[in-house]
Amino acid sequence: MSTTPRLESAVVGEPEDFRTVTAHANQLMGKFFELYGEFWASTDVDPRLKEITRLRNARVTDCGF
Amino acid sequence: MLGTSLLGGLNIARCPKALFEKYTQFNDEFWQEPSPGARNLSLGLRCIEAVHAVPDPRRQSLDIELSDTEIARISEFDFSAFTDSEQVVLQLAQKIPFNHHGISDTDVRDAQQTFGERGTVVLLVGLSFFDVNCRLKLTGGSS
Repeated sequence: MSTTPRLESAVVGEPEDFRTVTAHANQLMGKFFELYGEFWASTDVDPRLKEITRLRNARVTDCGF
Repeated sequence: MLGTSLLGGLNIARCPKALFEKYTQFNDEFWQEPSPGARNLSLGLRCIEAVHAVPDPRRQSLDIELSDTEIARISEFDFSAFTDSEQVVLQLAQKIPFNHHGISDTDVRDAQQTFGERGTVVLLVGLSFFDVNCRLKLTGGSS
């Protein structure tokens, strides 16, 4: 399953998960979360519709998040 | 900035300004990373474009030029002439769009041994982002 981390945590003392593994590239992921935050904060598309789309996307791609 | 041209085919007029700025900043960040490096990222991008059968690959606008021979080989998914590290990138890139669950422990271990933990995170996030770019263009986001 793709949600099982295959890289080590970058955060000492914390287990591997999406946040701690991607923390290896902190600066890059910082830019990603700025983009992601802007997407969800934007009201150009109804938040309910965005959430429905997110769930559908996760189902189609078999994403565990 | 290196890599900014990656977004050249997107129709920015359709995108809210603040969102596009953050999209551009995120994209630019990949090309600043020391590993896996611009050429490897370019190879991965081209491979994903090939999987999606992008009709007019923007090879002329990429800062890291790939030769016509290299592009033809990637389009045929013949990676044998590329270096070992480049093949690691290409094998992963080929699986990202429609076979991401086919990425094996060995694929990831090869990437980790070649590019390190940080480089592997950059590579996997980058390839996923390039896939998003292709899908956006193919579904009407291109100019």
